[in-house]
Amino acid sequence: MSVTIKIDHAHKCYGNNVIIEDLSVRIREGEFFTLLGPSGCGKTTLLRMIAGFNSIEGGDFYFNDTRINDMDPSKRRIGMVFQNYAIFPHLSVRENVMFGLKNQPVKLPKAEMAEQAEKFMKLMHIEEYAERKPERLSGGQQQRVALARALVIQPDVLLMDEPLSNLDAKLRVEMRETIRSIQRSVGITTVYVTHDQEEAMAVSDRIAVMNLGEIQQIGTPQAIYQRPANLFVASFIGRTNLLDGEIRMENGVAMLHAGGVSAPAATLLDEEKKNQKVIVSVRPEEFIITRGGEGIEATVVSSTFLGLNMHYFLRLADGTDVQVIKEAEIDDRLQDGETVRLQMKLGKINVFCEDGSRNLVRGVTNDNVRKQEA
Amino acid sequence: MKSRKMDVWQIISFVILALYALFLVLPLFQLLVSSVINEEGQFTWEFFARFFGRETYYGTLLNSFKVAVAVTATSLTVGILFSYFYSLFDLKGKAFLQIMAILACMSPPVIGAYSWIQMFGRGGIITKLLRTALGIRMPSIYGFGGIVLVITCQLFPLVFLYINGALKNIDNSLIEASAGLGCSSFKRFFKIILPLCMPTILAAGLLVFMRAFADFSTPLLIGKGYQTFPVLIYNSFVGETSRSQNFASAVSVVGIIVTALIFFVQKFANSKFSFTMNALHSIETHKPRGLSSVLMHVYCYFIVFVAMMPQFFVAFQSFRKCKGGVFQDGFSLDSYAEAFDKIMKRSLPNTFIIGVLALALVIFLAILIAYLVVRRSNAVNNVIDTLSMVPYIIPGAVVGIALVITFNRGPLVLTGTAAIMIIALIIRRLPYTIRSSVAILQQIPLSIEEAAISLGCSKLKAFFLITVPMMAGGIMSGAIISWITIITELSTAIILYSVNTETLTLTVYTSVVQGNDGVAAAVATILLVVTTISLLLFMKFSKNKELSI
Repeated sequence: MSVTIKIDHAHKCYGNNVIIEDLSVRIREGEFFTLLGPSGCGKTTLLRMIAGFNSIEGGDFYFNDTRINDMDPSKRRIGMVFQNYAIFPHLSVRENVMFGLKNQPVKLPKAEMAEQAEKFMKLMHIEEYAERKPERLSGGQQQRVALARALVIQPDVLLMDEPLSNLDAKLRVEMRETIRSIQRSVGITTVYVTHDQEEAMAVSDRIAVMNLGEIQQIGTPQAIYQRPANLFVASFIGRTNLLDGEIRMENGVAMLHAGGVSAPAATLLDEEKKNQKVIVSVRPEEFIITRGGEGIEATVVSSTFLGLNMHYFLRLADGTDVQVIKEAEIDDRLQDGETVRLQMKLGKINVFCEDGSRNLVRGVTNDNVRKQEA
Repeated sequence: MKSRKMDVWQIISFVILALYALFLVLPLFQLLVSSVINEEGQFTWEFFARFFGRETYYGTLLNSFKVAVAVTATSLTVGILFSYFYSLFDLKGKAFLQIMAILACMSPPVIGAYSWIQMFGRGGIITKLLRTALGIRMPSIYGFGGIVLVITCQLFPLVFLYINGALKNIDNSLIEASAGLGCSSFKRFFKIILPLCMPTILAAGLLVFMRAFADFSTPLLIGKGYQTFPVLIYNSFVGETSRSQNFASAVSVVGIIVTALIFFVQKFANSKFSFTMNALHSIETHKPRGLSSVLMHVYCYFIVFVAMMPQFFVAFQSFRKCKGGVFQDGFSLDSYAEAFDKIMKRSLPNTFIIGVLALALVIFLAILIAYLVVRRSNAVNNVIDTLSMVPYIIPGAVVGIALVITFNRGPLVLTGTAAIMIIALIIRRLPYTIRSSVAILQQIPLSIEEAAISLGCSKLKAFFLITVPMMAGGIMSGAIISWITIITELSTAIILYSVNTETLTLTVYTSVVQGNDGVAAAVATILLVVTTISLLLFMKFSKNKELSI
């Protein structure tokens, strides 16, 4: 049975060192929820508070309506997958998978235990290694054992702490597909911690972007990529170019001035249509390169061919460096030193207030509880 | 958060703290009290004054210092050179050299001095042989020289084992780099290898110094007029003349202060040299050539031969005919027959019962304490950590005296029981076992235990089901060494034993003192066999063959 996780005003500190000041979040039943952020942002700390391995200095944690703050981790009905797999090295693969079943408060009959273990080993494609000791398995196989071990006890919540970071790049992609499809088929509420934004986008229903112990934005991968709530989210998720700009009211129309050109700022929130300084965030694919014509003047510094795309590094007239991604064409590579024009895809770009704390464009969705209350 | 129920590990930590308070802190406090409060219950410096007032007393401190310094110097010289040849060159019979060196240091200390006397003493068999056959007069084995010789034979293998470990951690590229920079191999030893081993040399030096300083059986038997500090403590506590518990206590307190000072000086020196090394590629061994090869082999085999000579000689003696405690010509098994009657009743079962119980408790407590120190670092557990290391610097005889003073009257009388012997052995052996358990535990990631808890285990169950089995390999190899140290221990046991709790080492000692040489040799040989079998078992079962002393 899956649960909703509700966290109200969580507080975590070690002595005087505050890791999480005041954090609230709702995680929906059956969803794949990812905590994403740079190292030291408090994401693992929060996960371990949910698991019960970190003490909770303040606030309330609920699984459905049950407050779990003081509940022993062994009673929380969680399945946990660790960064270093944490496979018991002295037990065989089968014994590892059976371990949890044998330690449940209500034990299944022996035959059923074996059956369950078998089922999950099959699901994770590790049944052929059942009698092996873990030291003879590869990293990817060990992580499959860890996942089978966590799921076989049919926990209410699956918690994963950077489970893929010890694997090589190819295995990482393969395993994240596996994790995603298993989670879908089991339908278990999952909290996943990672610092890898691409991984987060690939697996999550919703992502909470964290920084300095605070949630910056909660949304679908698409929402946080296309309409980031603030400058931190815009620069942490994907790549982006930042240009200093200005909103000026001209004849009752809000015009965006940046890089020496101006354009109507149609996507701006109505209440933000006033004279102010802004920061314009343009992702590399949100520039259109033209030879001549309208647009910001730029010089090609260098370029990289990446198969699908060409990656250009350019310098604007005011000295700002920008990156642009353009689909690679046959025989049409811009030469270094060539002068070109850049146009912005005005519907896609984001505009932030001068201190970067707010996105001034319409259509930002943010499920962060505290932001809604504000 | 306040009213959470007590975690099981908190209870364990308080129980252990209470045990330390009762069996370590209280006895040391009583010792201190006894050193400054006379029988009338008045405060007095009289006992310290007596010690520092007479040369025969304070001189022993100086004597012990001389012995310890000399032994440390000789052991380091002999051991480092031995280890250098052993680790860096392909010598013939390496495994044999290693086993012999380890046996020399692990065999019962009481055998050493006794056997040397039998060979080179006034009536010694070799002394006589040399005098009658060749007319050579051997220099006396008794006194300072003899003590240093015997203890060095027992302790240089410690240096050997320590330095072997350090040499293994020197990366071969460092040697190649120094050669590339034009350093000759002779210069390299002093400029590169020795400095890289410095932290280990200091650690080994401290260990040797402490053991030599506190060594009791050797100077007692072979010292004759040359009285050392531990012997003074023993004599003033149980000796026939000038027996005084207060005086013995005062001397013990001085002893603790001295060893503590040495300990801190070493700590300080060590902090100046500390760096970590980890070799990707250990130093390659070379085949020695020509004269240097011959010299290296001669050196290593000669050292091992000298160190093991007493053990072999005792075994030889045990098969000689013996009448009324005096050896005769010819061979027989009479000594064994006599010894068997004697030991079957008491000392053999005692050795095993006391040894096994002490060992089991040492392992059990060491695992719990290691866990508390590594995984539950807090104020209480830091106190336990510090307390557990205190016995490391207290001479064995002092532990014995402190326990007797505390538990010979009052609500808890333990003197004369096996319990007090077991307690003493536990106190003395725990620091070593805790250190090695801590090292093992630090290698095991915490998440393994958390995984078990997340799968429904209680904290205690996760510990015993997962962590302990993972530690088992490392603990077992340490346990055999603990076992050997426990069954050969003498300096504490000699103060605590009664007729009912006599063990094999004590039987060897009492037989020597009573002049019953045949029985002494037979029992010593039996003890030697038990030790050797234990060691061979260790070699067979331990994966890495690394000995942690």
